[in-house]
Amino acid sequence: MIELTTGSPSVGDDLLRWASEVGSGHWEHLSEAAAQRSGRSPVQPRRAWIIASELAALGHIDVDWDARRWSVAPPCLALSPGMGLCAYLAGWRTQSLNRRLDDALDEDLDLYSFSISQGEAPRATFVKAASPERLADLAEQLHIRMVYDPARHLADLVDHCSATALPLSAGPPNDDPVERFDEVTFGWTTGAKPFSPGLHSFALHGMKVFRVLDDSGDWHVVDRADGQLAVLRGRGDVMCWHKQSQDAQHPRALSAPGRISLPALVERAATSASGLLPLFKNGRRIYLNVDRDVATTLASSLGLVLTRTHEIDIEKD
Amino acid sequence: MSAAAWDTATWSLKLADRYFSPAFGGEAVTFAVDPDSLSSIAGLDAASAQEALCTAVRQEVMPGHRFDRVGRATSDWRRCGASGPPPSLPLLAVTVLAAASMDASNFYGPLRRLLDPSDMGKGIPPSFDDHIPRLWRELRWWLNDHLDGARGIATITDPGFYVNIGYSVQQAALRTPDRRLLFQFFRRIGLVPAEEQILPGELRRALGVWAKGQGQRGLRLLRLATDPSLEQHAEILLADVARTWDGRLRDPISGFRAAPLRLLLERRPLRLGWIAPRGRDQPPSMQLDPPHSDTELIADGRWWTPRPSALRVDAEHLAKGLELSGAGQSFFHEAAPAIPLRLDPDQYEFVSVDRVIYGEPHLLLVSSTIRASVESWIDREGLAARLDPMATRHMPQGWFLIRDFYLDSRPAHEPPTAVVDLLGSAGGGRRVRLSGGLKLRHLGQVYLSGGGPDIALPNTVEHPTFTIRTTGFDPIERVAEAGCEFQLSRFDLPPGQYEVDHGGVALRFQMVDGVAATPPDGVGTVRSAGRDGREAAGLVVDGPSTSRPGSLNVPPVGFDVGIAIGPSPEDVEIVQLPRWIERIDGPLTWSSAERWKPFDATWLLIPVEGRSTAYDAHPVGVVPPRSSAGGGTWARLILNAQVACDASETAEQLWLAYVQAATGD
Repeated sequence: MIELTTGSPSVGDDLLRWASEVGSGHWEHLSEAAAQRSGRSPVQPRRAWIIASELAALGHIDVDWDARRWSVAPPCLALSPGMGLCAYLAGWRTQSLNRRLDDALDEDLDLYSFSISQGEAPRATFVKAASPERLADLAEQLHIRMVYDPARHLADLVDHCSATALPLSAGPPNDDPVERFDEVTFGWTTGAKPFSPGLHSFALHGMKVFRVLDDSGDWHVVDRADGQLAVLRGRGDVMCWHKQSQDAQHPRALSAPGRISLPALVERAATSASGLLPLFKNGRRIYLNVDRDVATTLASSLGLVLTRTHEIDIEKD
Repeated sequence: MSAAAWDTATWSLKLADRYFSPAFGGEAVTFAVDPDSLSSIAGLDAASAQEALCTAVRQEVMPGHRFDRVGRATSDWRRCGASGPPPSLPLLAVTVLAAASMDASNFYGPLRRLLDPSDMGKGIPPSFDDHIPRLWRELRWWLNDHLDGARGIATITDPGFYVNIGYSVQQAALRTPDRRLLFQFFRRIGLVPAEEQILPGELRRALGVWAKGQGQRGLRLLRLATDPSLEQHAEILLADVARTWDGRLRDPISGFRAAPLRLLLERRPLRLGWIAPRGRDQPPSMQLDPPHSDTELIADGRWWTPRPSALRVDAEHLAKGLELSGAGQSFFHEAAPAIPLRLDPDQYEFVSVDRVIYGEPHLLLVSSTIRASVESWIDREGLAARLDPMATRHMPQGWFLIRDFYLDSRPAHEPPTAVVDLLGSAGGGRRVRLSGGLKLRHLGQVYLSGGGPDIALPNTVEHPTFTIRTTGFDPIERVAEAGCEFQLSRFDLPPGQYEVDHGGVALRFQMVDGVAATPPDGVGTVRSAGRDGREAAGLVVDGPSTSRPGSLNVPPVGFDVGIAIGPSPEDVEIVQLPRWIERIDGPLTWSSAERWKPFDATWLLIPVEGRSTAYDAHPVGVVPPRSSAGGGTWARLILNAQVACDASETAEQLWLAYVQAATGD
C-alpha cells in the first residue's frame, strides 16, 4: 500500500542518489552498487535488475540491456492530467537538487511538497502548486525541464513488434525440462512433446530463456514480455481500464495481470501517469491515474483490446 | 648489423624502445636491465648480449673510466633539445647489471669487471660520483618532465645514504619478470587499479608474505619487500606501480601487455577448453612458440581458439598457470584455486572471468583444496549454488564445478580467501582495506552518506581491533566481528573526513551527502528506443511537447469532479482533483485546478445538493459565449445547470447569455 514517507532512505533512494552522482556507467557498476546497498537493508535483498527496472519505470534511469550500460535521465518536473497540479520529480536527483527544492519551497507559499514511500523503491517526491505557471517557474528556478502529460508522449512512442518479426531460433534441447505459458491462468505448466504453439521457457546455459513456437512449427527468440504478448494478441481480458469513482476517492487506472510482463517503455508510460509504481492487488498490477486514451493507445500498441471495467479500490486487498 | 657490433647510440635506441616504450605511457617504469632481456633485445644468448652492451660502453668510457664523456654528451643532448633517448642509457644499463650481480655491498667490483674484465680493483672508479648520479637524474627529467610520462613515469628516487650506487640498485630491484609477478600479486590481493587508496607500507608487508610463498621466482620481490636498505624506495616504487597499473598482466620478456587466457566450458558435450581474446586486424591464425609449437590459434570472431585441441586443460595448468606466446603476443592463465565463469554473449557458452559480478549467474570451478570450505560457505550464505557431481568426470583431476553461483548482495559471511579474491570490493584477503559502500569511483575514497564502507582486516590478523577518528569526536576503538570484517556502514556516518587506524596503517576516506551540483556528463546518454526512430531519456521524449496546461478557479465549496465549460460548444472538459492522494497525505486544498484543453474555461459545473451548479471559473472573469448554436453536449450541460446562488450580478447576466446560446436563441 502506498503511504506517506517520513522514514530513512530506502535502497532505491540511495541507489538513485548514487546513480545521480555518477551519471552513467556499465551495468556491473550499478549492479554492484545495488548489491552493496541491498546487503544493508533489513529486508530480503532484491535482485539488481528488479531495482533497476523500477528506477527505469519511474523515469529515473534508462538501461540498455544489450550494451549493458545505463544512464540517469535528465531531471524534470512532470505534471500529468488528473493529478490536481501535483507534479513529481523524475530523473537525476541529488542532495543538491533536494536542497534547492527545499529552498524554493521555503520562499513560496504557493508550493507544497510531499513524498510517498514505495517500499524499497525510491520515494516519489511531489510538488503541489497553485497554478501551472508556478510549477513552470519552479522548474526554471531549479534548472530542470517541465514535462507535461508524459504518459501520452511515452505511449505514442511504444512500438511493439509482431510475432512474425521475431528472430528464428532452435527449439529446446532434447532432454531439458520445458515450461509452457498458460494463456488462461497466465502461469507456467510443464510442457511436453510434441510442443504446442505458444510461449515456452527452458534453461539454456544456466539461464532461463523464452521461445515462441508458431503455427508453422518455427521457434522464435523472445523475451518474456514479448513472448507473453505475442500469444495473447487480440485478447480483451488482459488489459483493463478502470474509471474513476464519482467521489474521486478511487482513481482511474490501467491494470494488467501480475504474471504478465510488460515492455519497459509501456511500464514507464503507465507509471508516469501518476509518478507512482503500480500497486499489486488481487493478482493484478494497477497503474494509477492512467486516462482512457493513454490506456487505449498502450493496449493497441501491444496488440490487445482494452476492456473498460469497474472502479478500483486502492485500499481493499 | 649484428647486435655484437652495435654502438652506444644504437643501444640507446634499443634500450629506450624496450624499457621506455610509448606503450608504457603513464605507467611506472624501471630500468631493470638483465641479461635475459638484453638477450631478447639483441637476438643473442644472454651472455653474448650482455657482452655486446658492455663492449659498446667500453669503447666510450675506457680506458680510464671516462664517464665525463658520457656526461658531456648528455649535457649536449639536453642543450640541443633532448631529441631521442639520452646517450647515457647504455652506461646506466651497465651500472644496473653491476647492481644486480653485486654481493653484500660490493657494487664497484662487478662494475669494474663489466667495464674491464681484467680489472680486479675495488672501490669507486674515478669520477663515478661526479657523473653517474647526475645521469640518473637526467633520465628522470627526460621521462617525467620532458616527455611528461609519455614513455613511462620514472621510479628513480633519491637514494638517501647510498648516494652513488643507490640509483642503480633501485632499478635492479624489479626486473621485467618481477613486474609480471608483481602484477599477479596485485590481482591476487584484488587491487582495483586507480580506485583504491594505496597504502605503501601495507603493500610492502603483504608482498613480503606473498613473495615468500613463490619460491625461487619470488626471491627478488621478497628482497624488495624485506630489505631495509630498500624500504623507502620499495614503498615508493610499489605505490607508483600500483597506482598506474592498468589491471593487466605483462609479457615476462618484453613487459608489454599480455592477454588473459580464458577457459571455455562447452555444454554439449561438457568440455573444458582454452580460448584467448583476439583483437581487431589480427591474422586469421597464429602459430604458437615452443613448447606449444604444435598448436595453432585459429580466429573465431573476437576470440582465438587453439587447434588442435591437443592443448587440453589439465590440472597442472589450473594449479600452476599456463603461458602461451606466438607472433609477438603473449597469453596467460593465472593459477587460482577458484575460477568464475560467466556466459559470454559471443560464444554463448561460459567463459572464465576475473571477477564475479553481483546479480549475474556464474559457474565456479574450484580446486579440491578449497572445495569443502567453499561448499560450507555457500551453505552458510544460503545460496542456491550446488556442486554438479555429473560434471566432475569432465573436469581436470581434482577440480569441481559449482553451478548457479549467484550473489545478489555482499556476502553476510566471510567467504574463503579464494572467493574473496573474486569479489573485488568484498573485504578480507591479505591486507587492510575498505570494502563495499556506495563509492563515487571517480573521486577516490569518497562514499555517499548511507553507503559507507566496511573495514576488512587480513585473515591472519590476531587482534582485529582498529580505531576510527574524525574531527570533533574522540577516537573510537572497535573490534572486527564475525571474522575479520567490521560493518562500519551500520553507523550511518555523517559527512566528514575519517581515518581508520590498524597496526600503524591508516585508511582515510570521506563521507559526503553529494557532490554533483549539476547533472554530470553521461546523464541522458542511454536512451530508450521507440517508434519511428524516436527516443526517450526518462520522461523526456523526442518530438513536440505538450503546451502548458491552463487552469481554472476552484470555487470555495470545493469539488471532486466537475465539468469545465467554455464560450464555444466544443469547449467541454472533465476536471478532477486527485482526492485519492488525500488518503495518503491527508487533506489537501486546491485554489485552482489544471485544464488540458485549449479553451477559456468560463464555468465549472459541479453537483451541489444534487443539482448541477455553475460557478465562475475563469481566472479573470466570465467570457461571453461565442455561439448561439443549440443542441449538443455543451448545450445540454448548460440547460441542466443553474448558476451558483452567490454569483455576482454580472455573472448571473452572463449565465443567462449562455443559456440563451444553449437554446439557440
